[in-house]
Amino acid sequence: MKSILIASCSLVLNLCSAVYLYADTETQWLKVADSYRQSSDNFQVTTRVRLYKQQTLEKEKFYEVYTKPGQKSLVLFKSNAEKGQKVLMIADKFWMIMPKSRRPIRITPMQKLLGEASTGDIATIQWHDNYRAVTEPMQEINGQKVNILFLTAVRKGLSYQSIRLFLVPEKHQPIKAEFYTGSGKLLKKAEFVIGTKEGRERVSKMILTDEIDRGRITEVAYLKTRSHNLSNKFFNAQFLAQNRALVIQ
Amino acid sequence: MLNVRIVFCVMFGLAYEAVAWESVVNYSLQPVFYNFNEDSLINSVSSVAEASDVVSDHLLEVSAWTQHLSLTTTMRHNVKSEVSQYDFTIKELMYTTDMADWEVSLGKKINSWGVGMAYRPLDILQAEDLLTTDHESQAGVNQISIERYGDTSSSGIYWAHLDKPINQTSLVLRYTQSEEQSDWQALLGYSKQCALQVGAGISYILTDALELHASTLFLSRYRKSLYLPSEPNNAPLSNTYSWKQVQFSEGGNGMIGGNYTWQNKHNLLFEYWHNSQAWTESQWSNHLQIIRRRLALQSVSNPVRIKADDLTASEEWVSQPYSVQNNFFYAISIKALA
Repeated sequence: MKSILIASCSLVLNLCSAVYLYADTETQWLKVADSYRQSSDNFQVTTRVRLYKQQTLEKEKFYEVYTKPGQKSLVLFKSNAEKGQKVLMIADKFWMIMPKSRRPIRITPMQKLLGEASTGDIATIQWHDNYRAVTEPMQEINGQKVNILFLTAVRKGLSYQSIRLFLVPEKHQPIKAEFYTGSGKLLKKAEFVIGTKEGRERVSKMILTDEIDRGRITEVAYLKTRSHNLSNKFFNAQFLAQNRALVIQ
Repeated sequence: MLNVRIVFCVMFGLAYEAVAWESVVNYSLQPVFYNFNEDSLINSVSSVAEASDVVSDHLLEVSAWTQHLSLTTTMRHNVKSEVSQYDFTIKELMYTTDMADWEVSLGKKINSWGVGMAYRPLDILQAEDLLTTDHESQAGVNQISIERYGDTSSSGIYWAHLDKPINQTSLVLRYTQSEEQSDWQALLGYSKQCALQVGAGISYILTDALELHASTLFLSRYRKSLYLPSEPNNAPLSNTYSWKQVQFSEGGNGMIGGNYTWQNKHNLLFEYWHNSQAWTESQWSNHLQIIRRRLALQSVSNPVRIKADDLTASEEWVSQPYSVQNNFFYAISIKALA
């Protein structure tokens, strides 16, 4: 009787640890996938967004994105017509700052999502911090077997409530993704183009196909990535509303 | 009875950025067409009042800022039917430096504090002109301010000298805080002329698509301009300036509004506000009665002798910062904000 009890306990413990390791594996895959998109916790990315409609280039815009630990992102609009506009994102909190208003405007997740190029797409939100992943059966894409993770948002305010992410086995390099609303409606599909930066493979471009506004394609190119030590006060919406030059240390 | 005012605005911007400073240049062309008629010039002597049909403003605004300096200037070229003039204005010229955890600013600074898009009760240092359609920055206020910024909060002390609506010096304490679903702020102001002002405001994200905002301000003393002719209302001749600043005690301003965005990118902004500094219905009614009486007298009086008072009666009311006490504002756009 005693040996049966010990064996049962051992089996339960083994099962628990197997489940834990499995969940941990998915998180590890996501962390590696994230590393293809970001270089460090404090990074600055020069981003170019091209909007195509029916395969014709409609607009080209430039952004400077600063990210800090604590899910903080600051997007500075750099194109001439939008110069001075800023979007600040701290987890689920979003503010828009217009150059002449001198006051931050708290915006809803819907407003953030529906911008011409969703600022959530530009800001490259970390998947491993914001989504819970479960594996789906492997699929074959262009003759190559790929791992699939289905990500569910752990917070309500994220642009996409679920994501189906396709990864190269072992390398965990993102190949493509499908972005869904909370109701399960497919919003966008993304393809990731891999290039080499700082001596390692990174996502150099993300091509987003709009599944609602058909024929609309957004190409987000990460032109330059570097570390920064921007002061914390630049991630305070009230401070941002003042006209101050960013001092990059 | 109303002027028809059509505004076309063409704006484009140029930008230049160097390592340690940034700048924005905006040029806008604002042609305005006025459809003047006799009724719209309430009780004015039409031969005295200028009634240009077409007015054109060329506006060049330059903003430049470094870590410590901030400058905004505007050059306006105003072209009326027969007159052309240039105005050059420094809207903001401010120096800021760090002292421990505090930021100290000195100079002419643009402050915009309240929540909402139209009337913001908490903009006690400088209120936005709701009547203008100009695309230029507000003129700043001369001040010394000390501000401190935390991760999610800010606090500030402002000692400012105001020219408008009345000449006064104000001391204001302000605190802001960001929470998970809301931003809120509170302020306390004091000036000799207005005594105590206490206000609070909030912007609250109710759902993914709906934001609500509200603010309120208590004023222990406030003033408004009223048309109070010293002569009896039926006096045919009046050549004195009859607008007077009248002091009232204990008033309250409040605003509530929201912003809803649909998935098809349509956006609805709605706001309702009460402003005790604006004229009441009885004050409006009284003013219109005076104008009608004088209009009737004008036909039997010498128009040259009554023109000064008539002009003030007919034209000064439109330059008041607030028109009516209770207002509803809404705006529908087909583009989401961000």
